[in-house]
This record gives sequence, C-alpha cells and structure tokens, in this order.
Amino acid sequence: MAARTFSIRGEEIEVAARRDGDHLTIGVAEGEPYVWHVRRVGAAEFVAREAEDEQRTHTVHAVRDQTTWWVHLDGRTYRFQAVLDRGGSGAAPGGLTAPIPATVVEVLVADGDEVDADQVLLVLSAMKMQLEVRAPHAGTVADLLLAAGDPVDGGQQLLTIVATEAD
Amino acid sequence: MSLPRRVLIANRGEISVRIARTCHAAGVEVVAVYTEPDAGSPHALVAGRAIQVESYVDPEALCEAARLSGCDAVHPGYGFLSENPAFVAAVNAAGLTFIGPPASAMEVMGSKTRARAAMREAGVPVVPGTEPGTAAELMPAAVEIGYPVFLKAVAGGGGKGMSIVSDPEELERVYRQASDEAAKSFGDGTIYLEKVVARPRHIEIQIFADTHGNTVALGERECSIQRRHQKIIEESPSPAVSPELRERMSAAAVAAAEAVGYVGAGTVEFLLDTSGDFYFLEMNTRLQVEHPVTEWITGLDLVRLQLEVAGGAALPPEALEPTFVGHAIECRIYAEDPAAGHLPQAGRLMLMREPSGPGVRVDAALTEGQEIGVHFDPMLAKLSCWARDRDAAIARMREALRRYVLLGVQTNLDHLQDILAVPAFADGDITTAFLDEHLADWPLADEVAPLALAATLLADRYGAGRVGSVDTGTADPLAGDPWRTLGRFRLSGGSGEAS
Repeated sequence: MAARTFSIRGEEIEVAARRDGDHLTIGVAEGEPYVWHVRRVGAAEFVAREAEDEQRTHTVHAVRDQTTWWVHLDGRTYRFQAVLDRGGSGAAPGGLTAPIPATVVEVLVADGDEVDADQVLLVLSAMKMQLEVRAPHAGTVADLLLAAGDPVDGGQQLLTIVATEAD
Repeated sequence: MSLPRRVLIANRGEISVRIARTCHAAGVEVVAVYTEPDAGSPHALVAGRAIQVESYVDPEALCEAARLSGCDAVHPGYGFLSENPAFVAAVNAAGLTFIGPPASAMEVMGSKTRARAAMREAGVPVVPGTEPGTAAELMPAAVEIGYPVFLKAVAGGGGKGMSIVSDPEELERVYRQASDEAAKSFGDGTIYLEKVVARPRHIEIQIFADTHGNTVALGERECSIQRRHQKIIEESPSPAVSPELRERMSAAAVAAAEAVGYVGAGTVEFLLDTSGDFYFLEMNTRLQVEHPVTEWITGLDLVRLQLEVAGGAALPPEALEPTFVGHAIECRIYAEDPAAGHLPQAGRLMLMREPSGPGVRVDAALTEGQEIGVHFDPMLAKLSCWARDRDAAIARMREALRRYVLLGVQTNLDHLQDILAVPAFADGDITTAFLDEHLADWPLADEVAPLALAATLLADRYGAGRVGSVDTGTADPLAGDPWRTLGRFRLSGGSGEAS
C-alpha cells in the first residue's frame, strides 16, 4: 500500500494506492476507491481507464514543483499540497528510482516482503541491457506498483524499502 | 503595392509573435527586440532577427535599434510606447515609418479633456457632465442631468477619485469628502460632475482609416465582462447591438476618428446604457488586444491592413465594404488567482497543451519551462473561437478552455469556464458589473475533488512531476541514488556479464 497525504485548504486528506494485477486501486479518505487501468502516454500525461466501465477514460496531466502538485483532469486544473510525513524530499527514504528510462523485465518481490541488504528486487531492461535493482539495506518492501512489462521513466520511483527497526 | 521592407516590432510576448506572423506571410522581414531577461522568450526566437535593448519603453534606444538593424518601419504593438506621441515623433525623426496614427491624433485622444471637447464638436455623444465647480455651482447641473451622479476628481482616473451621489441632500457632504480626498491623493481637490450611466455595457467599434480619405467601421466588440476594470472576455457581434444601433455607433466612431485625422487601426470605446443611448469613453489609438475577434468575423488580417496603410495604399474593397459572418469570442488567460482578488501569480510553466480544432485560435508566446514573472502584464494567452452563431461559439469556447492545460502557475482558466456557464451569459445579459453580480463568491462550491486527488496519487506513483523539479531537503544528497543500488549489468538475451 502506497499512501500520500495532501493538504487542501487546511484539511489533510490521505490517499492510498494498491496494485491489483493490471489495475491500480486508489482510495481517497473514506470514499469508494477508484479502480483504474493506467496507461502512461507521456512524461506527465496518463490515461486512466475505469475497471467498472472500460469505455470510460480520464486524461490526467500532472507535474510537481517541490511539494506542490499541479493536476489537470477532465477540463479542470487543481493544485494540491503534498504533506511530507516521511523525510523532506517528497520521496520516502529508502525509495528506489529508475536511473534511466527502462522496461520492467521481472519483479522478484511483493509488497510486504522482508528483504536482505543487496537482495535483487527488480530487473529492468534498457539500452539492450538488463539492470538489477538491489535492496540498499534490509527492510520491508512497500509502494510497489509495477509489474513485468511496465515502462518506467528515468527518476521514477520503483518501490520503497522501509528499513527494519533497529532492536 | 509597397509594404515596409523590414519592421522593428517594439514589443514583446504574444503581440510581437502575432505581428511577426503576418509580416512573414507578407514577405516583410521583422526584427524583434528583447531585454536581457527576455533573451530566451519566444518572441525573440521566432522573429528570424532580434536585437537586444535596454528597455521596451525607451524611444531613443528603440529608434537606434531600428536604425542598427536596417529597418524602415516600426510597429509598436499595444501597451508600452504604442500610444506615446513622443515615440511617433522620434520614429519619424529617424526617417522611419511609424505603423500607426499620426502623433497629433494620439495627442488629442490621450488627453481626457481635449478628447471630450473634440468629440462634442464632432457631434459624438459624450457622457453628460460639467466643468469643474463648487458644490453650489454643481447642484443645478445635477438636477438637470438627473441623479445618481458621479463627483469626479479632475486629477483622478482608472476608477480612482469617483464618488456616487444618489440623494440631492447628500451632494454637499460627499463633495467636501471627495474634494478633501482628491487633494490628499492627487494634490488637486478640483471636482466636476458626470452622469452615472445605468448598468452600462462596454461596446467598442473597430475603425480603420487610410491616407486616401477612407475611414471605415469594422463592427463592434462587446467587452463588458471585466475584472478590476480590465476586460477578460470580448465578443462580436454584441448581443445588445441591433443593426440600427450598429449603424449609429459606427457612424459616431468614424466621426470620432475623422475629427482627429486618424490613420490606421483604432478603437472607439463607448458606454451603452439600458435605453440604447451610448457615450464616448475614449479612443485607443493602436491595435487592440482583442482584435482577433474582429478578424474572425470579418475575415480580415488587421496587421496586414496596417502594413498596407503604412505603405501608403488605400484600404482594399473587403475592408471598405466589410461583411460580418458568424460569432466570435475571446477569453484572456491570465496568470492570476481569481479566488484572491485576481492577484497576479508568478511561477514556472511546467506543462502546456494548447487547444486546437475548427474555429479555435490561440495567440500566445509561451514555452514549457518558461518563468512567468510579475514584471510584465500577467496575460499569458488569448484564446478565441468562431462559430456560426453565439451559442455555438460559446460551446466551442467552453470545450477549448477545457482542453487548455497550463500547469505550474495559477491561471483563470477554470474561472473563465464558470463565467461562460452562467445562464445570464448565455442570455447575453451582461454588464460591466457581471462578475460582482454573478460570481462574487467564486469558487462557488468548495470543490472537494477526490477524483483529482486519486489522479494525483496515480501520477506520483508513476514518477510524474519531475519535469525540471529539484528535490531539496534530503540530508544525504546521494540517498536513493539509483546507480548505487544497481546490481550487475547483463546484455539482454545473452548470458555474458558486462560488469
């Protein structure tokens, strides 16, 4: 489960995402979750197809400037403030990102798995090479939303290793 | 026909790009000017030639730039020096053609009192008012004009230094107050009286004059939707102007232009009241921001006509006998926050998608990554749409606004959509007080947008939003460095190890 908190006119709202096979399930606060099949069509452009009504799509344009998100959806523009609850960069500590644009070849772990330092987590393919992504330290896998075949952008977050608490 | 050979465009932003477009199409070379921070701005890059200047408002420096770059004419655009007679004189003294009216016409229209006097003489209706006087002197005039009346400071302007009086008993008290305030604010407590035009519409007539004695009116533009006394939506034709009224207003506008010996493109602005009476407000002696609306319905290229008239040609038949087809609307897109008093906003334009399609025109000079500062007018773009009738033009505009994506700086795109959605707008029931009357509490509903929040998380999960952004605040700059956690490299499809 990957979660973020956004602040809207002083109110904090938690949004959480989970990957279910080909679909992304996103819950906003206590509301009914959205279940989407997501296609990336540009660096900052996505098309979300509704799982319940596959003819229905939403085009999303989104960029982030520090902690401010600018989002254009169905004709309207939104500005959200991300609340940093885990570190100061907007990305969780222990977060692993893709070094260059690549394709996911293999996912060797799942959300919640305990992993050791240096354990291979993912295999990416780029420039006719395969790259192994290894755990920087021991911990628990979180924020994993990728599946084999997914394209990833340079800098895109792949997953998070939440460090095992020291005894 | 002789057109200028090479034109210096003494402006920046969208109007510089728009002028360059027509010049290039006409085979006329252009030279753009830019100040140092504007070196990478689109207007400086698309012109084909560009020269750096210290300032956009230094007449001598601009004339020198024109001379150095081998220009034979100068186009001032709008704003900056476009209505400055000293600039016209400097351009002419440098032996160059100024693409616009003679300095003498500008001088008359640039002075409120001289313009009013000239218009009265030419038989153009002006807002009834008095010469400056004491409260006792103004009292009988107020009765004659009819309450409510404005008490206006001679030194005021731009919506400042005006007080409204509805009750004759109040005139003396308000007069004293207004005079004291004017003395304090402007150093001059002189007050005159003017009729209050009831629920006015702002209607302007585009005129064009050549040096062969032709002056024509090219229809009206309705510009009543304003915020902070600045237009944001313009359209033509106006839903309030009948063919008969158009004829009368056009005749008045032509008379106004002829009275000052006008040449080139100009706009005569009127206030139109609920009874169909109209009053001269002012004349803009230049190409207007909202000129695309007129270009849509007439099929004319006003910049092309400016070049021809500047070259000494007579207006072509299609301008002398204009035909008006369909309906056009323009929306001005600003970097501003409509929910916070329309305050100008700064930021970096991180993502841009411009709308297109039949009857859709974008006049802009924007690029992704561009810093939107607060040093110049916060207008980002002009979006204009044409269709067979007003309803279709509104529908087309609403869809084009939905398709306009500008991320990274707050804009009025959503606000514009909501204006067009007000039923009174569709009914054509618009006055200069429209926003106060219909959208004072914008945004109307507290838009909790769970779908948009979900979309934001989606983008976050897929690593969007890194378009040029720099993460700061991480203690260890190498924390999360992807190369650190990479394992072995293998050649795809092979078993040999590359590392």
